[in-house]
Amino acid sequence: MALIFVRTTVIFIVLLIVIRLMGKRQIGEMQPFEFVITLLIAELACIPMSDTSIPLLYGVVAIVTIYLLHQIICVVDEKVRFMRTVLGGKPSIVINADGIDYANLKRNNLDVADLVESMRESGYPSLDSVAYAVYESNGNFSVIPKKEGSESAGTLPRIIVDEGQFEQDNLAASGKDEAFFLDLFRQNGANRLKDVILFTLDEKGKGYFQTKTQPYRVLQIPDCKESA
Amino acid sequence: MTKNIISIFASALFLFLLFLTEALFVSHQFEAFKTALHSLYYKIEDGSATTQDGESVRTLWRAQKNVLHVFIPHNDVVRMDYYLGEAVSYLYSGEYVLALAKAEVLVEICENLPATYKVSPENIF
Repeated sequence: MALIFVRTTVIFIVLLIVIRLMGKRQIGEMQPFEFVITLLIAELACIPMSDTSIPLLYGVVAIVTIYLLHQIICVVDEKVRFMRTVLGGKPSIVINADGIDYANLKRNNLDVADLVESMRESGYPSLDSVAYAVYESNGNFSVIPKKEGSESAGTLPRIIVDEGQFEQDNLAASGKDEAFFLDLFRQNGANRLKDVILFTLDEKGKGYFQTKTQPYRVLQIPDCKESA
Repeated sequence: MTKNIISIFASALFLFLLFLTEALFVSHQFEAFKTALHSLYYKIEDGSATTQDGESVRTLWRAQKNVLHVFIPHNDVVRMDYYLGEAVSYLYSGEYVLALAKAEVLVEICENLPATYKVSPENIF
């Protein structure tokens, strides 16, 4: 049974490391170690219960081991500030005053499409309507909106360029072609398409434009289709 | 915080006592059974073993396995049952060479089985 204890501890640590490496998209409303416990505890309870060739005590030992590790992590989390970051990670600001923090986004294995999706889920379809957006250490997405009365309220921006690539369906719906947008990007300091990390366009022709190196800009595109 | 620390010590103590009980009990049970098996093995080897000797070892094993079920995987217990049953049945039919082979397997299992529950790199990984 000491063997079960050691094996459970090894698997727990490996899972915790892997979940931390995977980034915030894998967890929802839980700290990484809580997520690992949720993953493990169901199996630990189930296997000795259904497999009669395994002594029930093996399941009990594994579950008590998980409990012991949980309590140790709780104490360490509370007492050692450095370990809090190691075990649970820290919140990542993915939208700041300059727009999307692309480096932070990538650090959490997220892409721009994930961010736009999280924004829509939070009720903020327009990226320029928020002052800050944060992926919390438990995977939650928090938005700090800009002042009320933003002109972009009520519009649904569509992604035209996502990390250097045109979204063809949205491009067609905008009524403009690639050459138009490439020229627009050039005028705004992005000589290559791959420098553009995000360009969205809403029904009113308002575009959110950001490159890898520059703060975001809001561009007004004339004669855009209403369906865009 | 205090509650957390108390629960850490309580669960660690519970596990430690469980490990200690298991280590002492399992090795003691297997040692006792191994002694009985060795005795049976030598008797089979020199042709003096009777069905009574085989049954005595089987009775000892049946008494031990009831508690061993709590500590070791049931498949290992079944494996012992199987070889012991074969060894005793060969004693009944007077096939000493085959009975000796089964007793040899049983001794081997008895010597190696407790080691498979110990904390060692090969068992962990």
